[in-house]
Amino acid sequence: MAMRFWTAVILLTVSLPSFAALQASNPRSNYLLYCSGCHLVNGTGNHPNVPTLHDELGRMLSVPAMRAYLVQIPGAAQAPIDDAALADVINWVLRQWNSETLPVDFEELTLEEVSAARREILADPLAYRIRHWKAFEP
Amino acid sequence: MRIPVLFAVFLLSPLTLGQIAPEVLTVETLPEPGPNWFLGKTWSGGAHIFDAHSGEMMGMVSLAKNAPTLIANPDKREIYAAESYMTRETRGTRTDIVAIYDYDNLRTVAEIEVPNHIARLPVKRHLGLLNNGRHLAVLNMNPGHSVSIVDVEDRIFVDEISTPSCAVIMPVAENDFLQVCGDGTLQLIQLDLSGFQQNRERSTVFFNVIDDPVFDRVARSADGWILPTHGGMIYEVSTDDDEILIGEGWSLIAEGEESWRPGGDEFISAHQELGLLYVAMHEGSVDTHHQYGDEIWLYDLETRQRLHRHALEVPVRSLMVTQESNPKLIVSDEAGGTQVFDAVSFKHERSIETPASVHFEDF
Amino acid sequence: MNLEKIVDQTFYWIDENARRSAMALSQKLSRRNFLSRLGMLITGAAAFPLLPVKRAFSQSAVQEVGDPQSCDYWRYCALSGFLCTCCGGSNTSCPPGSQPSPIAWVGTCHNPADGRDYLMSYNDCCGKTECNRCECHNTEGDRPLYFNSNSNTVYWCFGTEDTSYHCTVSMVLGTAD
Repeated sequence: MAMRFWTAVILLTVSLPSFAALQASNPRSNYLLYCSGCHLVNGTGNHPNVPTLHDELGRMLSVPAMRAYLVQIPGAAQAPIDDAALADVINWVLRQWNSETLPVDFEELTLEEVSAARREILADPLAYRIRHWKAFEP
Repeated sequence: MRIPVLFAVFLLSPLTLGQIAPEVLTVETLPEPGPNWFLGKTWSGGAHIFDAHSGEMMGMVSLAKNAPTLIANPDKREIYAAESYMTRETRGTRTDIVAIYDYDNLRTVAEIEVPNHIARLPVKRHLGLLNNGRHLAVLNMNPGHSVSIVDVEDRIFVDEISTPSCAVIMPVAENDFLQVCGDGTLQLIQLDLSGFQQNRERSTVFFNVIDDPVFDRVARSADGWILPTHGGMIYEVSTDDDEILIGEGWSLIAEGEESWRPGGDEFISAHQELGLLYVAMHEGSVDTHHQYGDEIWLYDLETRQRLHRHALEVPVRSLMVTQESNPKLIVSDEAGGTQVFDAVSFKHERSIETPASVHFEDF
Repeated sequence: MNLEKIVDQTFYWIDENARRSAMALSQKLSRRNFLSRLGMLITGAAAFPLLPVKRAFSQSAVQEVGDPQSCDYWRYCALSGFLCTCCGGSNTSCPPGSQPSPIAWVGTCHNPADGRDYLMSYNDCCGKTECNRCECHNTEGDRPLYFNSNSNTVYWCFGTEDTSYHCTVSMVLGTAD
């Protein structure tokens, strides 16, 4: 059987429902609502089971394949907020807690980029992370 | 004086008690399980084995608090459970295990240590038995989801498979299982013969987790699984090698019945051979999915017609239909009692007062 | 991490100028909550907390009305478990000797006192036997356990030294509008 195990990104047409009623008007509030429960209000997470959002994400972006990862990780992709709000939250997290580790030529995630990435399901995030970002230590 | 009296008693004793020997305390072994035996899983008091015909308790499988569930394997005459223990019960070092109990003595014959984050909540589909009973899959939450695979034949821990945002374990084919995922899809994990992940697939999106989510409570069907949604839709799913097959959804709710919804704990069960589906229903608004049922609705899976609406005196929490040719419907109610019905006629056959079961397993 | 730290940083994040119509969100609220709100509006003048005000609301920057030991209290719209307010704690403190879980799940509840929606963090206090008092099972917005961010029936004692469940608090993280 083909080693599909490593093909962790599955392309399909994802039809996202309308999230208007559930999303807040700003990235800070959306972060509190859908991310802070596990990653904590201050973003430090709970090592080793919940990753910190400080500094690590900036370093990850030195690997181009990890841009999409930030959108596709289920906690991000499945948040009941639309693509624009998701782009805002991710960029907010990067600005807030990763400004010192972001690549020098870093450009914020665009709406187009986030929409495209969100339509691919990342079925095995751990395998993807191990494969693309070998520096990562869980 | 006391001593002469005692002496007299001693002299008398052999004469008065001479014909009867003192009774000797023995231990039962569990009789061979008959048809319509079942396990009543309590929240933190282990599982009681009952014979639905007599209403008698036959024995108990003593488990750790909050153990998710247990699975009986009649081929091996073993029962498997995932349990979590702390050295001082509510504090101390936490150790999680898969415990193997034998039928005869309902005692552990083996323990296999697993990563200490099993999902401790009484939910049937936190455990799944695969590969002809060789592999047991255990759901973990930490708070991300994963699945531990244990080889219960060789009695070793095999691997922990990362499955973020997917839960529920529905064994399919020989050595595979389906899960429900928060993005509205099903995930298929295929294992190799050693129990390691060999392949992973995702289905198309077929439900919306915010508007009408698929429950984490499902029923096994003849060739797959029956998935209910909060709003009363039914999806019948199965696999064909690495392809996930999802049938077109059909609704339990007819026109004029829009106030009715499924709900409770393990509120749905199917008789696989007869193709009968039992669902506990209540009248309620959105987000009443844990409300106990006031009625049990019975459907023919082939025609999708409702055959019967059975009103209950006491609301139902969980139910299970046994897989016998003369099946019983076992119901646990709000008052803590267990009711046994004939599953076809709905004739109430008996009440078992204690304990309060959270859900039932086949035995 | 102790709860006081969480709350301090919470107030740092609240953006008093952020505005959003709460109507769409209100439509998602369950009938029970609506009745509870209606009841509050009708009896609001007469309703006041039964706990000593100092302990119940010492950290609250939010207008409060109602009985914080009742399952119908506005903060508990999606709480499943035992109320720490009945167990020697409060909505922002764990009972003596129990361990605050840093990891929680976050919901949105409507406060009838000021008509606004608030983000609520339901943290468990852990490391003790179940408190077994004031058991509530409110399922507003609750989703199955494969959807972590909205699953309230799970034991949320993650990240504590001991993971046995004792009771649940309900902390304000900010306004939803």
